[in-house]
Amino acid sequence: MRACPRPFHRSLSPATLAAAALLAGCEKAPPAAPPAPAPGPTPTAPSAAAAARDLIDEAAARGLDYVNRSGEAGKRTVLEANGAGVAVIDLQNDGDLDLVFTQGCASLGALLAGPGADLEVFLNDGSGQFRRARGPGLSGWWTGIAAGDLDNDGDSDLVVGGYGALRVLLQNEAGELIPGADLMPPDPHARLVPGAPREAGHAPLWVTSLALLDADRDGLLDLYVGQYLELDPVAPPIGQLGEGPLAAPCEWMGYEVFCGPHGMTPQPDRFLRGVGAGEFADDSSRALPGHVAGFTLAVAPFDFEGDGDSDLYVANDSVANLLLINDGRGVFTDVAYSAGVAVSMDGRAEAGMGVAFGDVDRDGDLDFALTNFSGEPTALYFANPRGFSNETFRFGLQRETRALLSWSVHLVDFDGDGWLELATTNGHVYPQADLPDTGTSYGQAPTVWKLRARGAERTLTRAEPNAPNSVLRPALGARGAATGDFDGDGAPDWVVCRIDGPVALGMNRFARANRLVVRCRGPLGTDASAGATQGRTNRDALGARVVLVPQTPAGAEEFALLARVDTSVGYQSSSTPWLHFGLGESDGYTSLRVLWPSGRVEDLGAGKAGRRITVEEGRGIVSEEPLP
Amino acid sequence: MKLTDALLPLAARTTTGAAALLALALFARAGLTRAQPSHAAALQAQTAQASSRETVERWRESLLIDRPREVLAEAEQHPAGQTWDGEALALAARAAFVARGRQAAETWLARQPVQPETSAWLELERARIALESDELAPALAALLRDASDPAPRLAGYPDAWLYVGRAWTRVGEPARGAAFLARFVELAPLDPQTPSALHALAQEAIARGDGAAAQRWLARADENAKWQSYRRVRTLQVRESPDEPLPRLGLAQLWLQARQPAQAKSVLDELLARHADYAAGWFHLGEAQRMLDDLPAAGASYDKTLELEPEHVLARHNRATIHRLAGRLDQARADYERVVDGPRASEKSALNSHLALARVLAAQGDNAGAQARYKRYRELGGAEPLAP
Repeated sequence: MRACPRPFHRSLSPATLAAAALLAGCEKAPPAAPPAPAPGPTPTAPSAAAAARDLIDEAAARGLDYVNRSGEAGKRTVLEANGAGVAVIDLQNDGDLDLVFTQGCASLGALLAGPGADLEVFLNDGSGQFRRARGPGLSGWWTGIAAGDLDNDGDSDLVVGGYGALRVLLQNEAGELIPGADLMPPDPHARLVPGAPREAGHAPLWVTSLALLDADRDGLLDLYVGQYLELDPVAPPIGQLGEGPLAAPCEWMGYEVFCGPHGMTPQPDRFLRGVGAGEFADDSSRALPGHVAGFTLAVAPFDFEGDGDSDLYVANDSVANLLLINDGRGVFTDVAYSAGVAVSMDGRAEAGMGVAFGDVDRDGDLDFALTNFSGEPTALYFANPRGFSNETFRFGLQRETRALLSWSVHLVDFDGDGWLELATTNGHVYPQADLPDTGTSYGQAPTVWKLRARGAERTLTRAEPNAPNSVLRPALGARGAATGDFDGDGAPDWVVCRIDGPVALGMNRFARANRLVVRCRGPLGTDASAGATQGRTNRDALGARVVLVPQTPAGAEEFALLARVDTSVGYQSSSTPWLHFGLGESDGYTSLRVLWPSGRVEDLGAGKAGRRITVEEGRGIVSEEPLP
Repeated sequence: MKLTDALLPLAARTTTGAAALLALALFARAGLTRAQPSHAAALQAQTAQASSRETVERWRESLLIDRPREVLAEAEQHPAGQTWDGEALALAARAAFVARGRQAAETWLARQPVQPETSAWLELERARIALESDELAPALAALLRDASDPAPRLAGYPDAWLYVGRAWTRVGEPARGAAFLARFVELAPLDPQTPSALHALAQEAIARGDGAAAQRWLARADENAKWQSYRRVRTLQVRESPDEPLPRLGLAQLWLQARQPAQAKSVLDELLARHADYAAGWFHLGEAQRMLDDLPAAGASYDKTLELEPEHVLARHNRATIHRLAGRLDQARADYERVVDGPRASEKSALNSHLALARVLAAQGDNAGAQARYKRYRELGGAEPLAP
């Protein structure tokens, strides 16, 4: 039986419907109403093919010597637990992917004393060998980072957030990152300047994850700023919150731990509208009416209704998550509860840490994964006509992830077989996790699972580390992570920011597969696109959707692959803008369609796998090269 | 509907436990006065049962505040060969599941001997572990005779209803789970898992397009979750500061808010054993006793409150009301007069004393006095008629 797209009532655009119609002729799946209890997940033993799969940590050999600092080992404050992020960015416009890491300090005291940390920049020579380059000269405790062409000049820029800081970095013609607009509000207490005197009683704004998107489709990138909580760096709470007989101890599993987020005050998120030239204007009150602050840790753009604009999912720590629907003009309304994604299936507000979108069940809409605290499963939601259905338990994810505290998450086809993998970085926030009887541990290795969803069947297979230097092997905690093809072989690799330790660079050594790698580009500068009906596509084409139908041999299962260009994925990090399609056994495709944010739809026809192509709106495929 | 209203006709499992404890204690005392050699064994068994109930309540509380190690530390002291209460053993297994994993939990569940009449708890815990391990079909198979069963095999156990409802929901059939979850909410309105069930019911209502029902379930879920959250924090505060009166008072107030006076009384008894001169404690004990219809005891608690805090308006008003209900109108009048002529007479809390005094005066034939007091009552914003 062929896989069928689900009936989709969320005001699908005609273009997407047309793409879905590529699957016409498939049989209608029978209603899922078994008289007996539905089968549980099917544990699958690693096969011989699986044994070959791995992500090999080659960071040191490739010159990537970033070592994270995130406070003291005892983690007396929540700031020290949250770690860093990484941005994948093309510096010097040479076509390869470079890396910029955020960085913290040795302690909160060291931050206050100054000078604070700079970003750490690594340039790729095109083969995946990196060399350290001079940083932009910032000073702070840096957290979330996002890459995009902020000034529409054809190269990528950055915006980086921290504890008391939010800054634009524009790339100049030499490929250097030059500090640009300071995006902190005027309140002097909101800012934390390392080395400057500071009184107790004031918490700086604490930026976590950032999302770049073009909310109003004016061709200029806008910025969603996730913010966490009120933490006074001079007099942080230690041991308990409140005073006197009603003070609440800060404890977990009966052990004293750092305080927060429970009992502390969340900071509201902000929405900054891009106004061009790398400048932004605070538009929070218009864009986020009725916004409720909620300890934001992650935010990811996607398209909920299939109407072509960018909506947002906001993962909040310990309070309800947000599903922000864009009215097309960049005004967002939260519908998370009615869509079934505000809290867990059991009604608990869990510790949302990271979020990633992808078409897991290959039905033409975007599903998503949400990482959570230990004792809470990493959740997997499938889009359905009314919102989302929680597939966590049917996949067996609760059993698999209960002991993990997971952060960054990606839905990515590492092995190129046409099915997405679920990849998470893990690691507990409390060093006390290593004490007896916690059910978990402080250091946790990253994890990758293969997901399969066919009809009612759900399978989850964990990719076991095979090589001694597998990135999946060391039980070291990690936070941010990003995907990108660093050695140019067409397969996505995975850079993982360990906390208080050296970075891992998981080079993709899964079996060679049929792949197509696609870069979408909007028009340069202020050029308008012919055929645009709903605005203008930004230069990075963030929000563009690409639908690819692999050519399948007679009798084989037909399927379509949907991917959307978004770089703000996971946790405090920014991934490649290139889309990596795995075609499985197909060496070509029968259809490739791009649905641009401008409303324009481009059909690019059939083609061969094994290529890296760049598509520019209105101009079709403007460059291509074979994959090695 | 407010949580407190919803709870009125329903008996919480925890209350049942406390009531059983109280009954056992009374029976034990009666037994002591009539002690016969043939009753010794029965008495010992009852004492053991009471002790077992105390253990269960204590372990449930430890799990409520996420301290599984406390449960395990105590459970590991259980003498080898001594019979287990199945509920306690199930809780030990639950603690082990959280703290040490599934295998450890199953090891606990295999322990023997277990009081046969409590062994169903172990079956339930096994189903729960299956559910929490994503073994949804085995969990349902353990809980139901067949898939079309409208009630769980262990229908007398609220948790069985919860687990079936949750399992159906997780396999993607929330409509089949809804009836089970609704029954669980009826049976255990104050269980820590009740907000979860209410939430699932709200989501199920959304799925079938019944927005009004969804709103109702959601409102209850939110209210119940808030109550549970306060309960958890107060319990933690009591554990952290056992000699501080405020956390226990706050916990007692939560039980009163949920119309669970026996639970409140239990907390207040403990509080007053430590702080016999705590007026607020005596007043709330009086409130609990009043809700338990033990008016003589309530009156005595208000007496004690007023000894310690003579201008306690509510205690004096309530004591006056008890006098009035008992026909002691002179004593009632004296208390009401003390309120309405006292320094807090204009406060909102004293408003009803003005009316009550007017009615007492009218009942005693002092119509002029009654009218004067009633006039003042109206001036202060009262709207009730003089005649009851």
